[in-house]
Amino acid sequence: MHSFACIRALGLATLKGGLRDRLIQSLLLAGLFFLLSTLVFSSFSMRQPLEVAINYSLATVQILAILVTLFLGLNLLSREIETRAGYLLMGQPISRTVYLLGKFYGLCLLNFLIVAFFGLCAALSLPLVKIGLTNAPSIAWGNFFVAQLGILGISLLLGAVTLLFTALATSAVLPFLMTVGVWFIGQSTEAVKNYLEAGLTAQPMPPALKWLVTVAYYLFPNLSLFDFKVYAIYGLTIPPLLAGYALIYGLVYMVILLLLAATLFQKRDMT
Amino acid sequence: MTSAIKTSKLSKQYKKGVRQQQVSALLDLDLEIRRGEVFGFIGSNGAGKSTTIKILMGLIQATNGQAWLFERPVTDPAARLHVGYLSEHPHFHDFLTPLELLHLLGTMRQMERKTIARKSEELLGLVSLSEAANRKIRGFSKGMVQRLGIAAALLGDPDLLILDEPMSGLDPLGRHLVATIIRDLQRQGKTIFFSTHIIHDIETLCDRVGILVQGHQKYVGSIQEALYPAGNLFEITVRMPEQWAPAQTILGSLRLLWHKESLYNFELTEAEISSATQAVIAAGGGIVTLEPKRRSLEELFLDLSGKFGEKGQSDLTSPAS
Repeated sequence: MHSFACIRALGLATLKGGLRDRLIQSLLLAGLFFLLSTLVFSSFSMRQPLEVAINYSLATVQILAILVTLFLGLNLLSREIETRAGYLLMGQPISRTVYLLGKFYGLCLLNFLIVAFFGLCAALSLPLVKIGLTNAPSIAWGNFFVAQLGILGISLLLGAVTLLFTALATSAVLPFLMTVGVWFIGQSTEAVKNYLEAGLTAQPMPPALKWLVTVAYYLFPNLSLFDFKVYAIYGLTIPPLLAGYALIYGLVYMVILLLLAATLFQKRDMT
Repeated sequence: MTSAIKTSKLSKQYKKGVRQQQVSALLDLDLEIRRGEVFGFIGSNGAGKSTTIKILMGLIQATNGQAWLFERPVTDPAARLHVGYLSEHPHFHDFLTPLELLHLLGTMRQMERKTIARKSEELLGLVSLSEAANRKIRGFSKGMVQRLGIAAALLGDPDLLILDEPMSGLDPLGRHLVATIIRDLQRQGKTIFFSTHIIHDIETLCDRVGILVQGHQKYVGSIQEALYPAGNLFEITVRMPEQWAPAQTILGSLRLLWHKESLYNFELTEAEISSATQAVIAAGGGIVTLEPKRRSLEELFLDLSGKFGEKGQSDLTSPAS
């Protein structure tokens, strides 16, 4: 019970840190501006203003959640170790795992708040886009909600990746670059693997490259699995199996990352 | 009586540089701090003081040897439940206020919400930070941060306080405040283990002292033994009439330490006191002071580190410096 109370307290303190961080505040303001601009940009489309608005608003929420994860995620450990602010907390009667989980919990809370708030703002802006449109399709609110959950999944997975890298590295720059790398790779491994397996290439690919792509596919998080934007934009039915698989995959991957991060962090010297 | 801190053959080696060269920060430290004593840990920069403290607080792992807090191995987080800790140059989450920080720490120390609130107000008052209780730490001066660190260390009424350079960054008032707090805690039977560069603090506050030189434990013992070495030597200062010379009396056989105008200072043994004082009076002189010969802790430290005569190179400072 004590560990849960500590994780909760650390999480709330991390959330406060995130909300009081000038950089995060600036990002949130910029996000609000971009969401408001949905109303303007969607009107540029002659045929599908609503689809453009959904796509634009979901992309804005996703970028915002990922940027916040990257910046706050790095502050969670790297800066705390650099400035020694974490020494006081790690010197308390708690394990390093509890400390790490508390930090991750705070990141989850902040991401949840951001996705919920901006998702709500996006949802409120969509009916405004619809005003005056004739023959506009109805908004698939359920899919829109699932797409938001997908965004939350991506940002939390990247948060766990950041924690793993910051548990390893002594500077903040390396984990930042590595997490950005994982983000790019994670978005495209599935597409590249499918492309190679379909044999659509003009020339046969060397087996080593195929092997490399397969390894990357299984090693890096498959972030495209959480991308439900197309379903939200066009109101397509989301296969329950796909959504369930994404959920279980995300949870298992996150647990593995956190376990690895905790194991490495436990052994790290706070010099 | 159980010990508050115990270490056995505690060692720490770091790997440095591209070649991963091994550097010893601490070697075979055997230490036992009894409950209720104030123990001062001195040594120059890089002597291994902070390394020892970090091992005790679970911040770094020992390469060899073991350490215990209240009989529990330091690798067990529960060992730190009754320990208050102040790090050297403390840094806090500067987006929090002191009250928020103490609430967070209180939760980790398994304190109840009401108790945390009461103790926080009490401790912030003790370190003169009541007015800043709701201000963000970001705007605090170095001294305020240090005082907040002391309040944080005292939260939860710990039985053992481990303080790494507690006087660092404090003005004379702040230092007096910390010294008073340490004396009060000593009266309450708390154990205090602190490292410092300031010899005066050790001399006035500690029961025992440990001296580290380049990772090696060179001395552990009581302050009395350290400052008044065996041999029962005394110093006598006398004021003698003009034209008087020591050779004329028994004083001539004593070691003259210094002489200025009519004042003479001699070193003598306990057995020589009686005859020496009689000789002074017989010669028409007067006794100004007679006291046990005392060497300074700084002298002892420099002696142990092989730097006697190189005072200027020492990292240790007197309060005036």
